[in-house]
Amino acid sequence: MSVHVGPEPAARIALDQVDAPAAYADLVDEVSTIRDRVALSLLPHVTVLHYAEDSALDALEERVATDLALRDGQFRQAVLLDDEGKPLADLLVGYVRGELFVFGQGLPAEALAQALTPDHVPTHVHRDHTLMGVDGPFAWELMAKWDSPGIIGLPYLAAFQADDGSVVLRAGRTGEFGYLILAPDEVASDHFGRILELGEALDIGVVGQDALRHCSLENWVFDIHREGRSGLDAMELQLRWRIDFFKEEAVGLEAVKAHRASGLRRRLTAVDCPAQVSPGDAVTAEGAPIGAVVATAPDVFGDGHRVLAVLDMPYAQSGFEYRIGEHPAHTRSAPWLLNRSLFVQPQKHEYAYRDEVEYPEGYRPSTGG
Amino acid sequence: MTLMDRLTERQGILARVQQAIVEAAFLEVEADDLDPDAPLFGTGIGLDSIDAVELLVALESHFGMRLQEDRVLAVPHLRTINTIVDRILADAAAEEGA
Repeated sequence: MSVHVGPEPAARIALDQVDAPAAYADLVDEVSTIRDRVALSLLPHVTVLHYAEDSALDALEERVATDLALRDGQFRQAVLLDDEGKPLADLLVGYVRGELFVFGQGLPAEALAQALTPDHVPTHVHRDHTLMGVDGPFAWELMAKWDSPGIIGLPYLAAFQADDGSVVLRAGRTGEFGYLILAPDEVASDHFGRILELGEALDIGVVGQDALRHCSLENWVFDIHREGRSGLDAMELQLRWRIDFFKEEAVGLEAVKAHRASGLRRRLTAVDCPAQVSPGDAVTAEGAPIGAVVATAPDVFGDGHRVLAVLDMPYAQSGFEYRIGEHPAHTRSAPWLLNRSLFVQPQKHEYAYRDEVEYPEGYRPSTGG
Repeated sequence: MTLMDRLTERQGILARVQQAIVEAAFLEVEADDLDPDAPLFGTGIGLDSIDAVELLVALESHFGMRLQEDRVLAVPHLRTINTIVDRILADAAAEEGA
């Protein structure tokens, strides 16, 4: 991104050596925007690489542990591991109009390109494009107004290229409907402004990484900058669905296969705790240590804290009472929320008549519980 | 029941659910490779709506678990393997209490 787009954030965060908007307003307000309405965000820290050479996919296949057999217009969530099977980069890999694109986080852009394809020189698309995110239970309604109603039928992880060169990919990290827009810098500011204008009727808000990453924790969406930096490998992080165990060659695959053969020793687990705890705090069962806190987030609409903890096997299971320090800790199934997007049907609902959306008995839409 | 007994019981049910999913959706993976908190639909394990119908049949057949078939992707108990196990254990506890 080389142009100034959007309002000035109240706080910034450095991710992969790039300054990204962290917050524009209060965390609760921004989380509410994502959970209840439509949120617009800027994602300058995400590296976007484009490969013109056909051989680039083979090179990627040799490095990335994920199966990358893809159709045109389709993306896949992938992971680049280190030699020990620990995640180095969180990737979206896919084709748009027959051209290979990689969206990546976890390493600075040059390092990511070098780690992925040391013998190929990709175009660093992020240098002259702006990546925006549109997330929320009514994100599809806004996107239909911005592009065309046909976008409602865009499957998850499918992408297309608009006439002005923008790439639109249906993907998100919040558990709600989500879209990424990769816009050439010369039209990015106009797109951002137009989306805000169209979004007024949907009470749109601009949100930063603090709220987006909070939502990703609540929805058990892998964050390379959080649990991805905890020293756990892909098996322990419950990322086996991104690993192709039939592959013969990829960085870190040998280590993951060895771990798999010897049996899982510990696993990332969701925990509810009434008190604020910190990464590194010990988790105990019947007085004996069984693991440690990896990350936490407050329940912004209620009491207590959501905790990601790594627990030894067989303790790493849902529905058990342990302790973190002096505090009770209850393991639970992820995700923490029953997202509003599960009940909003694009063919039937719209934001103006959101009261018509039917929820299960006892469901509180504002809290997702 | 001791803590270890209950952990073993849950692990046993989880393994049976993993196997039921592999068979219902004809997945070419080892059952144990299905992580308990990975999303079942869309991302994660990547089941689709056709798999969902097969999964409903399998869950009823293996565990007596009955779920509404309309808008199956919005059923809270079908989000992950762990949420399915939660439901099976809750049903069993309710049956014991009845």
